[in-house]
Amino acid sequence: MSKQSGDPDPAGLVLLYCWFRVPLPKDHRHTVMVILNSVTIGIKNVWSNKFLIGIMYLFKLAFSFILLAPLYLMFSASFGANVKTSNLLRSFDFSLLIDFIYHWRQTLSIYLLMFFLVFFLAIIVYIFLSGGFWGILKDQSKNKEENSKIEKFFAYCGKYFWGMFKIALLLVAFYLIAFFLFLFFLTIFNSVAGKGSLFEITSGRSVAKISILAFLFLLVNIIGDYLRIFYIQNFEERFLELVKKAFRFLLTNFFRALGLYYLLSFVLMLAILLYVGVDKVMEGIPKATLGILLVFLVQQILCIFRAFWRLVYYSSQIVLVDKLLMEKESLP
Amino acid sequence: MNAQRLIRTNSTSELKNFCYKFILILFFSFFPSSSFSLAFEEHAPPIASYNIKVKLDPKDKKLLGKEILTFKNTSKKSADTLFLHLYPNAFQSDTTIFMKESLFPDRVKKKEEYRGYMEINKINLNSGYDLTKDKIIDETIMKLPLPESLPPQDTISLEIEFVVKLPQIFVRMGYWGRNFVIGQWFPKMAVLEEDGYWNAHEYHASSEFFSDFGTYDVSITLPLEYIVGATGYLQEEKINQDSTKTLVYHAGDVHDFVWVAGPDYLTSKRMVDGIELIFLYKPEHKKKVERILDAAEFALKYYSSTFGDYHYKKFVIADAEIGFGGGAMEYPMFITISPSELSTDKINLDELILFHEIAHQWWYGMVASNEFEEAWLDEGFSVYSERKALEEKFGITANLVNLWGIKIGDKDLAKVGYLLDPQSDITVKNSWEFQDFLSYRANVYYKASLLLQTLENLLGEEKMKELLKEYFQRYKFKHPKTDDFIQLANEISGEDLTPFFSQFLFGTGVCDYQVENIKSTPVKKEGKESQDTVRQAHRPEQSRRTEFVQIFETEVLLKRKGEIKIPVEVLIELENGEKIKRAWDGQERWYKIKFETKSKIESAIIDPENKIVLDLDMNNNSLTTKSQDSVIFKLCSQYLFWMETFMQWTTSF
Repeated sequence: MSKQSGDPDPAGLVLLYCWFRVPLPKDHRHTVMVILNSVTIGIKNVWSNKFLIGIMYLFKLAFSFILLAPLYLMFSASFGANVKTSNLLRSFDFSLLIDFIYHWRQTLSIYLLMFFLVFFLAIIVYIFLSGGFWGILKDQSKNKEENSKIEKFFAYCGKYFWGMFKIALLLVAFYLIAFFLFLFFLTIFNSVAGKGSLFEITSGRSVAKISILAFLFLLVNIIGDYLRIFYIQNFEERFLELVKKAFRFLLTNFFRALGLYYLLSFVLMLAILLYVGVDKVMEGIPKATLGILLVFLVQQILCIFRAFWRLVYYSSQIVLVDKLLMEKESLP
Repeated sequence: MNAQRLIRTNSTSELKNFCYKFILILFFSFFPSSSFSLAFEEHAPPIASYNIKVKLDPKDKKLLGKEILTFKNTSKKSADTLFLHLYPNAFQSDTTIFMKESLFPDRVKKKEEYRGYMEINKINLNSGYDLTKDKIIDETIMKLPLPESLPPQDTISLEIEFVVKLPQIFVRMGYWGRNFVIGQWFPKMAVLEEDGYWNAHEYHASSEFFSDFGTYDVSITLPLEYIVGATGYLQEEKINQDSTKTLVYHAGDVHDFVWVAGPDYLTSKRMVDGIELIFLYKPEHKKKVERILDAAEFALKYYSSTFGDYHYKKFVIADAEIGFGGGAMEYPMFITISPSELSTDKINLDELILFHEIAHQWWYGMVASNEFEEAWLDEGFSVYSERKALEEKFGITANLVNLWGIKIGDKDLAKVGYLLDPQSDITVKNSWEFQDFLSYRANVYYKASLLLQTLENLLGEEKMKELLKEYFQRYKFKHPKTDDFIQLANEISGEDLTPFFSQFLFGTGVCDYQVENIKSTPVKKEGKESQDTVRQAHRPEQSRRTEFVQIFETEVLLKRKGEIKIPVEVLIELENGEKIKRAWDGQERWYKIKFETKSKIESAIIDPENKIVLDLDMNNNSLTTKSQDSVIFKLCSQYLFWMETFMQWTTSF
């Protein structure tokens, strides 16, 4: 049975059930169990394919290094033998930055161009890799044991590339629609609640605006994920049919899909908040090489966790689709 | 017609005027705390004085004015022509100098409402002689040939009738909704210089104004419900039968008169050391009232104590829709601002603007330099003063922004502004002759303010305060020029600072010193005999020892990369902690410091105290042998993390 719009938020139910052991009605308990099961199986599936975490992490690291390399050379030239550089260890010194930008202004304009080119390339590579991520995780959810997973991974990358690319293009259009919807909302919101300052991010007004924007963009992300799931599960079908199927599934299971996404996002937010807390604590550590190394390690741990969790998003949603479709088939 | 009949020598009216003032002063002196008692103590010799009756027609957006202009020839030569500014004509078409130079040249073409102009309907000498037919109007300048020349020290009086069509708010004049900002709105006398030369420039997009001191008696008639803020002191308010009211203002020792009016304004007042501080604000800025008044109070007190007393007993801040191409603006006893939405408790943008505009009360309002020709004397000084006030109130480093770990001070802002175009133009030149608006701001505002900062760093804070205090006292109600300031700086400092000013103000060169290389080479071992007294007693043959100390030849190579030559200090630090100071006159392109040391060199810094804030690139001012890898690693790891995060978010679809 599909969820009705008046039903309570499944993400909230998950929290109530898991943390506070609040007794829930049977239907809701079932929803919660489906979501929790999807996450648990999703985590297991990713853990069974740890190399995917490595690939995702290395992909980001590699492109970040490419973007860092020219800056490293500039930093070394400007700050490598500069007495005043030590100011940067203590705090943010804007005056050093101003002179740095002025000195490298021509190089930086070329760097900016390079930045966009590398970024564009990174997106293409990621679209290519995403076929592998989704393909392997789909196999895992179907309990297919493969011996040569790396070969299979790259085979999926090639196999699904074109479809993934089309989905990415479609999503660009959806993001634009979401953005215009946000602008429309903003006009109404500003006329009711006033404009306020861009920099007052802690004000209720700004939090409301950011939340709406995040909701709309997350919605597009969810659509994208389910399009990919239906694409890899029904690879032979026409693209338009897949889109229809994905939307039909999302509309009939909207709150379950949303609940799962919220739960996963909630965990990610907790991880980020934990990092922020740790970062604050680390501010007190003397900024010697060891202290900086420690900060670097914590940052990279967060990056690895984010890579892992991104895959959990994929995997859990595949499991959710499987479960809900199976349920539907088993109905008389 | 006899010249004596044409030109009013004013002896009788001056006597009347004197008696009138004497009676008023006597009358008001019975009220010891009254602000009026000092309001009439006028110091500036009145050269151009105005008696204006103006009626605001809010429906047609027009001003209908009658003006009696009294002008005294203070030059050494007779004047056979008068020049007047008709500033509103800048907005009459898209072909005016102002519009062609402006950032929005097509604006006037787009809508009739954007047009503004001034019509001169009548100009008579007080004798009745009609000058209307002789007038020659060239956009914003009106030339009036006189039937008889005006001898030095004589006074002439003109009766002028004019109509101003106000544009929809643009730069410093016009209306928005039902509200009006009325600046540069009446026929205004140009400045006749001592040598008989008329300093009368067209209204240019990037220049401001220059005029003589005088008294202003302005009577404004407008709808009853309108709230008004104006230069000067309100003398009288009367209600007319046609649902209008007439407000009469008097201002002395000023060189301009501005007013704002509108039914939407709210008013808040505060007394600050006997000065009536008034804030006219729009209802949507109600929450800003305390912040604006606090900042204004601070600035008035700070500048009064630093430069010299604020001369007037009233100060008005008007919240105005400034319009395209404008900004906050200064007038005597009056400023317009537009509180910023970006201003929060972490971003002191409102204070920045207020401190700047209020500083203009000293550097423009009272010390009235020529904004057309030497704008640095008011803009550069005001940016410098705004910085001092911000530093006093919010500290040295993060006085502008202190948000999310980002700390930005006014000095940083000035450096950024300067670096946007440091070399296109010299600083002292006609405002409209700069390459573009960017270069104008970079040089007139920011380079000039950094020049004054550098001067302060070189002379010391106390000497700089003394210099500015003296400059203010000596040139209050006068029109000082760049040379006057340089001369005074030389006098106060006891040094010849002319080369310093000449290079920075009259040249496009930049200042950039660099430590090119540092090295220490072991050269010899120096022997030092020592005696062991205990051993000497028992083993006399081994009692004398020679200790060898390694000597290094240390070399520091300094370079002058820019054209500006200025003496610099060099601080050399050795590995054993010893610090050595050297001076370089900075004249040659390079300079090598060579000396023997007992320890290797660790670092060399040019200008270790960052005195020369105009140095283009401070990152090359030092070299060290000490590894800075940890800093590079910190920067790189942070950037790497940002990039990974960026990748994470941008590939999330």
